[in-house]
Amino acid sequence: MNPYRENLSKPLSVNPFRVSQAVGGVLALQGFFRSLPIIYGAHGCVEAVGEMLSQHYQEPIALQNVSVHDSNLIFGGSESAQDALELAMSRYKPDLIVLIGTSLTEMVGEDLENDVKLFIKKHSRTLGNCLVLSLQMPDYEGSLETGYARMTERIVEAVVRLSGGTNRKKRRNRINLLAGPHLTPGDVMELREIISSFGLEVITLPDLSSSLCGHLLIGNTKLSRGGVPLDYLDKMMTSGCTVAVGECMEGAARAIEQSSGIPYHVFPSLTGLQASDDFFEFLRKQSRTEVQVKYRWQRQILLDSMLDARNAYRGKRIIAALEPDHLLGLSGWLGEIGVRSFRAVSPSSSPVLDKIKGEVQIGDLEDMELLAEDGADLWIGSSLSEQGALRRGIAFEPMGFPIFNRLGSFLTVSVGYRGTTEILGRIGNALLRAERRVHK
Amino acid sequence: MPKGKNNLFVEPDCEHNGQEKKGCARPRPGDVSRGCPCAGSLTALMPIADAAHLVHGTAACLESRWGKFGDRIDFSHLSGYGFSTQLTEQDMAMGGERKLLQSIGYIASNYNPPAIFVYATCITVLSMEDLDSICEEAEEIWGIPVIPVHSPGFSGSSSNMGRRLAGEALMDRVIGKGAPQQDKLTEFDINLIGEYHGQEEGKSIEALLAKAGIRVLAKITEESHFAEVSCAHLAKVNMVVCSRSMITLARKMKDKYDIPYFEGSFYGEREIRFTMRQIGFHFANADLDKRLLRYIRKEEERLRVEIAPVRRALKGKMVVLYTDGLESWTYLTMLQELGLKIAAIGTNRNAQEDMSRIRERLNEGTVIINDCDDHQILQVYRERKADLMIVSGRNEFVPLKERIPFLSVGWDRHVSYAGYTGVRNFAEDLLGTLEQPVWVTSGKSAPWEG
Repeated sequence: MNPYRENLSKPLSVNPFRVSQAVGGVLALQGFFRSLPIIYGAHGCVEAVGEMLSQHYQEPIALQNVSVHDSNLIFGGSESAQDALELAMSRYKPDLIVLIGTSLTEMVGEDLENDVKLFIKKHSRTLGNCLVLSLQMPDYEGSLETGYARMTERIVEAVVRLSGGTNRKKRRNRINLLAGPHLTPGDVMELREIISSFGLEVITLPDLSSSLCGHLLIGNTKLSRGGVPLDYLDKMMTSGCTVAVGECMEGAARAIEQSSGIPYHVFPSLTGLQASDDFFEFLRKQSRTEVQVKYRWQRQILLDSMLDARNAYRGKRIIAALEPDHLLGLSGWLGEIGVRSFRAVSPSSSPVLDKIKGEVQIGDLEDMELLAEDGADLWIGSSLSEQGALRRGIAFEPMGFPIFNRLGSFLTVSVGYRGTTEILGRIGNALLRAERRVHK
Repeated sequence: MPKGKNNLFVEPDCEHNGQEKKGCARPRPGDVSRGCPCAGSLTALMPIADAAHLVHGTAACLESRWGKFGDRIDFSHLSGYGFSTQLTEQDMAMGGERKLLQSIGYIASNYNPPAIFVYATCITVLSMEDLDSICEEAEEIWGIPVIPVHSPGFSGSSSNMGRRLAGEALMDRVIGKGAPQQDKLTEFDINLIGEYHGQEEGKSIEALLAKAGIRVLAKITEESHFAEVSCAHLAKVNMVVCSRSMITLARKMKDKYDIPYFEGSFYGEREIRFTMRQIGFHFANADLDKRLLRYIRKEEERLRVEIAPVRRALKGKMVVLYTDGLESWTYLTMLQELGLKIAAIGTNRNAQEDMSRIRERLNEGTVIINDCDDHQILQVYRERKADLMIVSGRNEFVPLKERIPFLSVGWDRHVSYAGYTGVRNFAEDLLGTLEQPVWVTSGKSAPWEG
């Protein structure tokens, strides 16, 4: 889409920070109650995906595999896929199974859809309300963001198909919240709270706030815990409107609109004073209810904090390595607080990149280090990028995915007035810390 | 052993070799996920710190394998970098050989490494790329060793296979190629071969041996340099540490360079003593023997005094292990020496040798569950009223979610459990874990729950 941004003279990727689609797909599925992703690839693929997510969220990840062996590649793996589906079904009785294809199955031309069709036909009696789907998610295209969005869209489409008619009565005081992958479980929780404060009922999907926030409720299980229950999704088709947070979620929102005529509204990001104002104004109109005193206070506090922080941010040059939607939100907010420059590297292309205020290129962390060479006061990115910041002696603030060797990063909040105040403090403190180090 | 064939399933020095061969089992789908051979090769070779490691595959093949150990690796080394050809759909259709050659060139001219390891992946094997000849061509152009590692993801059922294949690459292309630095060799040079945990572990083993007057020539592979590994053939003895994944490498070095090898472990007093005696036996030097014995006696006495209070506190506590591979047996001796009772062991993906080692280290009364699942281990934990669970790898969330006191001995721990210092660390971690107030707190219900 934006090939001109890429450094085409470089044949390889040095210190890549792109996270594959399958990770995004599996992550999205954790936000659905009692779901089970099954990765159709070599056994190592599963371990890598599970390990990454577990490290970041400090939670077990519901995930299984179809073990592809060399014989499967020659004779086809349909039988193995059936075995895996059957095993998952008989042992755990999930509510939602998605067979996820990898570049390997794509390359040998496995027909996942047919596998699922066969399985459903064979087990139509015992299946009950279990939803079985398939989705190809090769890792040579897209990134975590697209994987997450595509998985959500896939499930929304399936729910749309199941729910049938478009002329069902709508309930104005119910909102669908499509939460993008750059939101932490803490963010999603905050958004649900804000929306509820207007007396609106909210259906969140995927809902990571109740699955990967770190609760002990269910004990040890192989299925996803928490998340939005599947039967609840049918109610989605009678909501008053859909709110998508993150532009990548627009596809799913559009799918709902097309089938049920539910209007949607996309908020690229909810970080920052302006973005939060827009969101609250939207909710106020939608619900015809006034903003609660609590949030009026929060806005005051944010404004005061912005005044307090003006010196910490003034004249600062910030570089970031994040996914497109995340970059857009961050750049908007940093523009609002008035940093001197914002330059960034994105792991994959997206139309969103054109809207970013600042310089953006598609690349890897070697490119990020080149940016750092021109001078920067703060480096923002995932834990993978931390070593580059260390090498260049630039203050580092973790954000994005994956983050490891840190506690509670999945509970940080950066949306709404309160979240913006929190991120204002976090980034501001990192800048101040770096300044102290310079003057020493 | 079939001649002329690189058959890693037939290892004459393995216990199961004499047995009748079973046919290949069809891989079972399900919840026990296994490691990727390519990842295994990477983990085995990435500690060769000044070399570049280039994965020839799609994005995910490198994804979770680099930059992981945070502050515990010195990132000025090249192995802290991740290099990937990140094949696109077009590359897969048109072939990625040219891209690979260019990538090697990019690394060679921008980073100047002493060598580049190139890893094959599922994709590149399927598209039938000729890795060997490209590496050869690159070697000619840029004048540094470019070493292909053939361990695609479906080449075996575990990361163990990847380590073996990494060993093959080292044997074929690295060991014996180094310029002999005879003047720098000492009388007691030894190689450490095998998998041990992280940087800390290797360092503490090296320090322990140094105190007894033994020099570690090459660590295969623990943080080391390419030149070091390429001179490994100049050592007098090889020690295979705690693992059989590279036993073929040790055996081949014995055949080719006449270097004897033995297997040993540094976890627990008794194991260290046994290992040191073996070293003494192989060097056959009266002076060294005396020194080793004196050293062992001194350290053991010191250790006993130091951990006496911890041992008193731990005595009689009941422990259950839910571990994979070598972790299933390495800690048994230490646990027994500290006075703990081992109620049960749940294992997965263990080799036959691992199982033998578990059995020879156990007293009666321990339940061994092979192909264990979460349900079984929790049941036996409750039935036997154990006090503590020891877990590794992805099992650690099982006790966590059930609020059972546990100690994780996987890759992410922060201190070394090897050597005499390791025993102290392990004892302290065990007691510290048991004494943490959170186990009591997490069992209590909220005031409104009655």
